[in-house]
Amino acid sequence: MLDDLALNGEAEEYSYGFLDEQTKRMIRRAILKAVSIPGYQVPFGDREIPLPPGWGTGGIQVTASIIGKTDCLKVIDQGADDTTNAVSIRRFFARVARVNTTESTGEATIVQSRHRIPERPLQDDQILVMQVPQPEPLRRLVTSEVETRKLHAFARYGLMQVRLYEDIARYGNIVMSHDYPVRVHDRYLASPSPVPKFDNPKLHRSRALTIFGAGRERRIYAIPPFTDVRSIDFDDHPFERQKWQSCCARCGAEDSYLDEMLLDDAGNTQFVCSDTSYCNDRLSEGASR
Amino acid sequence: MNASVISTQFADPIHDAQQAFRGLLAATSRPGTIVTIPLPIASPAPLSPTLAAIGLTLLDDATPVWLDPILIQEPIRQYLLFNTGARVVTQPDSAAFAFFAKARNLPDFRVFPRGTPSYPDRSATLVVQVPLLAGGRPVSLRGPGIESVVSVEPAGLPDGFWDRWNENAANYPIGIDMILADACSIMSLPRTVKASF
Repeated sequence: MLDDLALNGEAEEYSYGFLDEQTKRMIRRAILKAVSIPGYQVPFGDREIPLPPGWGTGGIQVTASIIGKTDCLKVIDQGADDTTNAVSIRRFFARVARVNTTESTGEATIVQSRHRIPERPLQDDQILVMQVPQPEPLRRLVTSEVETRKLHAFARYGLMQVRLYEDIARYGNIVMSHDYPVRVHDRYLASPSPVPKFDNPKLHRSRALTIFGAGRERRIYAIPPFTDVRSIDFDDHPFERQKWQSCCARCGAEDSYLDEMLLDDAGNTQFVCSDTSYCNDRLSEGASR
Repeated sequence: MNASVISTQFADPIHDAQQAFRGLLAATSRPGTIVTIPLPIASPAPLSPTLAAIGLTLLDDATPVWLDPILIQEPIRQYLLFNTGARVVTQPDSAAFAFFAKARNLPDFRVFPRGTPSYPDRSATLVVQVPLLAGGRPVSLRGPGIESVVSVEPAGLPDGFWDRWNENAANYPIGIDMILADACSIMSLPRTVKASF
């Protein structure tokens, strides 16, 4: 993908971080407003990125606007550092922003992610950038942007409670497993992006700033550190994380999100950590099953 | 227009602006912390280098700027226009940013855009020069970005400032945001912050 562009930041004097300065300023102003109004989706002018919409163009534009020469970037896709999307985004920024990259969560200053929040708790000096396909948590219930904007303006989120209640009425429990809606700072209903609901509690009073970028939908929103993030639920059906009967087959972790891997044609499976950095760190620290 | 206007950008415009933005981002996501930002080589008095740095980082032709009675001078207007492209407006209700050389010049916050219930982001950011971000009357801040409570003591704020600030915060999500600046550092007050004193 990026090789076709033959970009070489130093030699060709290409704009630092790919975006031009005017675009970065516009996105930076949107980010500051997003941090000032936690959970509110700030509209921004989406620019063309050498990547199809839906592959992380929003996250890339946020990262491109905040990244500097001294940053160390980690990119993950579904928890893994070595998937196609993660590798190409990491190489993109190594080239256009001339930054160091890492696969270790502890070393990174910026973590751009799709579908997972790292297991290792993020620290004060780290920024988590999430790629978001659909920033509007109410969109599947109300197709009109005019209407959802009114619902946010008046904080009328009963529809989402009804949506969750219908799950309980039909299945006996809330079956929504990912993109589970949250209330941020007791005000805005927000989408945590399609992370498994296992990751929702990590957003509550996190030490790190989280910025969400939705390129196709042209929205940026943020959750500052130490902000209350509550997964919506009912008194008699409290929010629950996913649980597994087994532990990770590699490192034996019992506290991480597990992926089920198919091993052979006979249908045998095993569970391993979805967060490869967490699993490798545990192995190098001597953990095993 | 003269040579001094041209020579007063950041030493390294792209990377200094990036570092200044990261300072603003750190300050806004952790209200009450004092953050040092890169400064331009010079700035036209009485526009302080810290205010100039914030202007160079965030302003362009999409952000009308309002200047307080001390700052509204031709060299400053030219400096902002040449280096950022930002227009200076005389009506506060059309400003995206407002710059103040003295906190006592702060008018009623409601003369600036505070956003609407549907678009609370369409609100002004007030950038205020203070003599020092320390040494004033101590005030406790609470809100998102603050672990439990943080004590700040910016000097030079007018009497009744924190009462007015709490009125602004009480209207959340609409309201103005503020950045306080001294000689080389900034402190941010997003509208979510509540003060007790």
